[in-house]
Amino acid sequence: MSRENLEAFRDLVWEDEAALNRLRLATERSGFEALLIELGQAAGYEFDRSDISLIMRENHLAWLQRWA
Amino acid sequence: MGMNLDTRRLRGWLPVRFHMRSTGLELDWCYLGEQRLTDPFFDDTIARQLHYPFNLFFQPRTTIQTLAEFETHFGRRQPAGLIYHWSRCGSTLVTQMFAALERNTAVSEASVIDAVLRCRRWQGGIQEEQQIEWLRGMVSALGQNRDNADENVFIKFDSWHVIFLPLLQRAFPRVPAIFVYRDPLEIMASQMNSRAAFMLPGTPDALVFDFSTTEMVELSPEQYIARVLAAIGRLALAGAREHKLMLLNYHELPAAMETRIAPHFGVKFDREEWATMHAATVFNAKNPALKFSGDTEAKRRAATPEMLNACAEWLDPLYSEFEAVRLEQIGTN
Repeated sequence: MSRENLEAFRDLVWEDEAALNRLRLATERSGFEALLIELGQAAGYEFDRSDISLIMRENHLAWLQRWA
Repeated sequence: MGMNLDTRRLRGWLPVRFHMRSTGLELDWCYLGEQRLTDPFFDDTIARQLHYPFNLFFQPRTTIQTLAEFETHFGRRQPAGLIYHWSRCGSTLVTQMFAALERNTAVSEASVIDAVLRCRRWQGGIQEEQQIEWLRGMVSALGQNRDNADENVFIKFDSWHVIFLPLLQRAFPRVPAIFVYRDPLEIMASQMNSRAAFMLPGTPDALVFDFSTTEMVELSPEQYIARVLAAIGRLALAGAREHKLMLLNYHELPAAMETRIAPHFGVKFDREEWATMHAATVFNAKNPALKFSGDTEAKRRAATPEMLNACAEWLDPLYSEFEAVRLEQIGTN
């Protein structure tokens, strides 16, 4: 469920330029995760670091596998 | 992330993967913001950017049609110049000199451009006109003005992309282009020391040269490298004669940046900017952590009889032709 929350929040935050700008400035992973959780909670979406890590890991693997 | 993203939100994002799925051709995008392309090769910059959590978390994927929408929103970027080369000839130095200035964007051997160039070999049914539009869109997206300072976009291709010269000429008919070459024995020595992917028989890059399986198995490394270089060289010579491709010898660098390349590309820089660009020549273009040191003599010393024979058979006559055409070009300018 928290995974679904995170994916829904990701789509939502994509439309929020101010939130995206804050996230772009978080260059360290732990700070990025903390900010994402904070922004999610403020918008009513609950998820945790493990959900974020899982998506990042999947994205990283998918990226490596999609070399043209 | 979904395919139906509002393209206007992609300012600052660069297309970095072009791949095929059952549903069609798709693009992956990576956020760079105002981060400049200063690495010797485009994919080095992207590999580093991918480690940022933002880019690990947000990975927009769109259809290839997004390129046309991108141009509609942000405008078409016409490159100031295209850079081709015979490999190991100083073309990276050229792009690194351009990249030294904030108002220049130098896109060096981007795999995403390579993918568009090769897409019709992978998948039937793509018309050349469509491919040309994708190429233009790709260059516009890669060369987008991300920091409001970019004025000039330069695109450097892989060595073997010369086989696409007629296509690229149709895509960018008014964009001046150069081909950088050097004494083939020096290229041969460099390739024998560390071969580029397109010099390895059987790799996807090498397959464009249409060697038979027997040739790939039986040719010596020196003969194979020589024949690949000869194929590239013949196409570049034809380009020089038919498409006004300006020929540039390695030994003319870096001085020719001011005397030949910049005038050919129609770009001007002031004294301070030239000083900044020349400062980039102090370092090894492909590994800026190291200082540059000339390697001509070392490469010639490394020559074996097999290398000398392969060059004599396949490449030295081409080099003479390059020199004759280059001198003719200099004489007419």
